[in-house]
Amino acid sequence: MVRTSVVESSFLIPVHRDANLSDGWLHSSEAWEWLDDRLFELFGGRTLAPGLHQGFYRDPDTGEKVTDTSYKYTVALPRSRPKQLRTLLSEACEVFAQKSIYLSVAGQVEFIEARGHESG
Amino acid sequence: MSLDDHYVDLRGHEFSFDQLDADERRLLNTLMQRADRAPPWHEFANFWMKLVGEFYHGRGLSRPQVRHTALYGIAQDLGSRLAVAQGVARNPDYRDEIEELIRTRFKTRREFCEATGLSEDMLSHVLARRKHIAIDTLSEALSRIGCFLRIVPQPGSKRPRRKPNAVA
Repeated sequence: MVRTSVVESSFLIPVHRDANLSDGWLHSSEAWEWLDDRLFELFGGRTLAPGLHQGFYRDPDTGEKVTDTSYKYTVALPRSRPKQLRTLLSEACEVFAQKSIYLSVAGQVEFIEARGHESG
Repeated sequence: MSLDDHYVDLRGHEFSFDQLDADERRLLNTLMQRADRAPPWHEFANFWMKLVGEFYHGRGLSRPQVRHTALYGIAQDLGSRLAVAQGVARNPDYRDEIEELIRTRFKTRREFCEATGLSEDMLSHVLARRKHIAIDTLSEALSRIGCFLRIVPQPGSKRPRRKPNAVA
């Protein structure tokens, strides 16, 4: 049996839309369903970590400290397909109204930004 | 069709229990019983996806095929109801649907506005939840891009209480 080499990856999705970029509201249930559908089709599933993860960062546009509360997703990512997850999270920036999404792949952290989608 | 033989999700889509075989009905009962206990959303989300995924993979279905089964849709909706009840998500409204339309069918908001005749200023206020849009204005705008409004059951309405008949 041939086994696919996978690496653990995790990312954080804040429970609220970005207040500067959008309205700061909770996401609709459809947004979470969209993410589930994409993760299921691309990677066969995901694991949601228990509880909410508190964090803060400096908003690059306003310079202000922003606190957020996120759900942590873990995905078994095939080593040959890291780009698919990055592309998905880039789309997720739009769906979840985020400037960027924190991604960790085998301990390497990066921030994924929305694709060049003009908002105005 | 009575409320006892179908399931209506938060978007008003109906899933008939008639299309489920005995094993699927047993699985649906398991999912509904688990959801009735109101576990944390993340816990139920992990539970249903693994269960439904393994069930249909055992039948040789591909992932896209699994995603389009009634059981997947119902299980996911049970999870969404938990998320809304637990305050980690909200019910979608027409503004979410407009956002999805723009994201999936247009390159920019400007392009959407040009196609629908809506002003960018109005759209900005509507999507920022500062204003609503008149129903006749929205209806006319949507008709220009081949869409229409429809009335569906209220998302907060109770899902059917009776479980589907399972074969012992």
